[in-house]
Amino acid sequence: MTKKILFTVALGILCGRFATEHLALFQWIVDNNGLLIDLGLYALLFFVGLDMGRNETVFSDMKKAGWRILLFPFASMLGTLLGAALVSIFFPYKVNECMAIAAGFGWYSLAPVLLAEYSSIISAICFLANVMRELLAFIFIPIVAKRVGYIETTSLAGAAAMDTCLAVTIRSTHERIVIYAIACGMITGTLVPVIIPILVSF
Amino acid sequence: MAYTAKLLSIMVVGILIGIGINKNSKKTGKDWEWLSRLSGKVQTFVVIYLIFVLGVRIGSDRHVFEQLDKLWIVALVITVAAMGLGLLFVHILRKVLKFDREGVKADD
Repeated sequence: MTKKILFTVALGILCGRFATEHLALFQWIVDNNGLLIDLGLYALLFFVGLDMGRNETVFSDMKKAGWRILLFPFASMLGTLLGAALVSIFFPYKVNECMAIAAGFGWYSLAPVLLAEYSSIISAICFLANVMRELLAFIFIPIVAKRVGYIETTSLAGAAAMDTCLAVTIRSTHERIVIYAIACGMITGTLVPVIIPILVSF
Repeated sequence: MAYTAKLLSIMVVGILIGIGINKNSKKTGKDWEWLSRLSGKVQTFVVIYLIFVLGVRIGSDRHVFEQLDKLWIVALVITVAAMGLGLLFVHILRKVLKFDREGVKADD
């Protein structure tokens, strides 16, 4: 799966970079990107739901997990912000700036916009960091699922856990992890526009 | 929030249909295995499709390429540290809450 993902991402990036000016199809994909991703997600979630409905153990697993599901996104966010704060000593940027960069939690279409007025450089780094987070999540979700644990995969994706990364998570883990991924995506995604402005207000 | 609600609604519709199929299967003894196989194939296809579409979006944004040579290392270090510690915190929490590797509560 990882090889397929790497190949597909690379192919997509190359097509986006070099083919959009020459082939109308790729320009159309770029212009309608949001719609195309939405349609894919609708199909994916419907079939994931179908599998969940057919797998009776999923519901008992969710019931067992209960309120604890909500703790994992907060642990992920706390670790993310602390990790960014620790490495800030290596760069000529403030601690809160590095934390704000990481506080996009993979939502690279929103987080850099929130930082655009604060600093164009921080905004650019934020864009790259969150694109990287999503790409690295694609690569490491299957590895973490195999070697560390299923719930941990939702931490890698952050806000994209219930978005584009959901597909990879499902194929690498189990249907029961969908509920963790959705909780992680919902909570971190909701808090991105809250945390970033607070961090750069200092 | 409306978008999140829409995504969850679609999944709930799938869940309800899945539960309905299960009940039908128990009642009539009809085998729906073909649907499980189809679902797996559709999901794999959609994963590849979504990743490709996302790649095209990233590749078409010149901003990424123009900034890569100067800022990518800062972005990479921050991202790796953030993801690493995030992963560690979730891992510790999973152990504390006694969930097994596959996300099942171990003591139940």
